[in-house]
Amino acid sequence: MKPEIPADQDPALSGLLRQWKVPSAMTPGFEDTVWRRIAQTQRQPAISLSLLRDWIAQTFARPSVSITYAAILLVTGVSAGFWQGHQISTHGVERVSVRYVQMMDAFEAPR
Amino acid sequence: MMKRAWLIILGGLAAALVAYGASYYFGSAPYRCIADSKTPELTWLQQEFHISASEFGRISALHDSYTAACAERCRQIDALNGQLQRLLAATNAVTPEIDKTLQEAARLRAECQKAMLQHFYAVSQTMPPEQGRRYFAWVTARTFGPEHPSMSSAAAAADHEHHHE
Repeated sequence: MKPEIPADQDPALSGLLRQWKVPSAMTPGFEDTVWRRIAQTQRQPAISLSLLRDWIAQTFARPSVSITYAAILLVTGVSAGFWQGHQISTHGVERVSVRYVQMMDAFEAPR
Repeated sequence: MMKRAWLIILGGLAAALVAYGASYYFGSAPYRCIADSKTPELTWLQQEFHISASEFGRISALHDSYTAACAERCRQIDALNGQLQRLLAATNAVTPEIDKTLQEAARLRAECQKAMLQHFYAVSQTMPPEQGRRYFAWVTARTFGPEHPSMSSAAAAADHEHHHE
């Protein structure tokens, strides 16, 4: 097994460390780029909203989309309303039939 | 262009709400018709068993006569139950009075069941034959069948288990 040499006694590593230089100067226009990016981020919601509005306007300008949208809403409204009304009606009728039996049966009649 | 889009979006939603309300109204119409009548139970009976107006008149008369007699029997049952409670509170054994009251309660129960059955036969015979058979099967299943509290073997078994605990 190769014996381990402490880092401060390794001549190859010491040579490399001596050659290593940290670039101290920033690239030209670095500060402007940072500010431009910050401004861009702040403007983004407004851009998104306007994009959404444009998309809605363009989408609903197509008759096929408008008709499909209206048809889906109408069918949903009719189905939900009828289903709920039917449920209420079924339960109500069931309660009345139970009351009829209670009227007939003296031992089951509520007192 | 944007205004048109909003008009379609909001108009669609409004139309869906109106459609919901209208279909709810039609969907719940059968129950509203029954609930709004003077005697919902009899109106239900008429609709459920397709009873004609003349048959309905006869059934209503039978119903009124039966319910008047039934109210009197209800009063007797209440009086007997009250008497039994007083006797049970006053002693710690089955006294001859308790025995007599229990026999009277059993007699009253049998009398009630007999009158009820006679009423069911009379009503079913006033209906068209097929509907009469359906009515009799339906009403006796609920008053003499296992669904009835006094006929339920499951309820009796549960009661016995409770007493053994």
